[in-house]
Amino acid sequence: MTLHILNRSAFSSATPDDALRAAVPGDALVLVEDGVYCALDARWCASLPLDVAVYVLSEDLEARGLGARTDARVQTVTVDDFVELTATHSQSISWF
Amino acid sequence: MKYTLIVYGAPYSSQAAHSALRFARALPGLGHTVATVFFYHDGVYNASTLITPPQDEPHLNQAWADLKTTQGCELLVCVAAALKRGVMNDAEARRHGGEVHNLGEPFELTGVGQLLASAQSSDRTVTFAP
Repeated sequence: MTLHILNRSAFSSATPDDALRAAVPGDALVLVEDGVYCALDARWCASLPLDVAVYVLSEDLEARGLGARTDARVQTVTVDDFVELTATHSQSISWF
Repeated sequence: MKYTLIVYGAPYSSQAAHSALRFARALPGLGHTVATVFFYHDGVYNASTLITPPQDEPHLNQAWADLKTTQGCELLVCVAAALKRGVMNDAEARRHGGEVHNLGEPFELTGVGQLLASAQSSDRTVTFAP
């Protein structure tokens, strides 16, 4: 299982779409830095595969004033949770 | 678990170095350790001892040095990426006829082979890019 780490906004980059195309069932995806904007993008969130868990880093959301505006498909996590996601997945890919 | 972190982002240009530090600082509390931080591409600028931010901003060069003090990790800098960007230690400066250098302890100039060795001896490798 791969953890996909995404730091680009779907509003300004095609990278988030590339990451979704590369994810296979059982993978997880975590939105960090400007990647947190993906959690507000209805088009991108509608294209999420059902069998890929998607997380967003709360600290980066809060830093951008986006606390309570995320899509229901996306689960908010702490930095500690992010670390544990890298531990529970055998490998990670950073998309940028 | 043992971690290797790769930093591609230049200091103050992107969030990469800050994200990597935040990640590294969270590791011990969860029973993990950072074994190696490898600075590559524009990430090599993190190793410049000439970094002088305003006093109310994080001092990234110092923050990496503090990380080595607290966690005992290696701070490895890709020599090829560093030299062409003007980041070098005393020995490389002399070799190339220069009189000044801006890299020293606790940072080390190494080759990419060292990154592969670190990744192989770590349980996890995580990349922080701009």
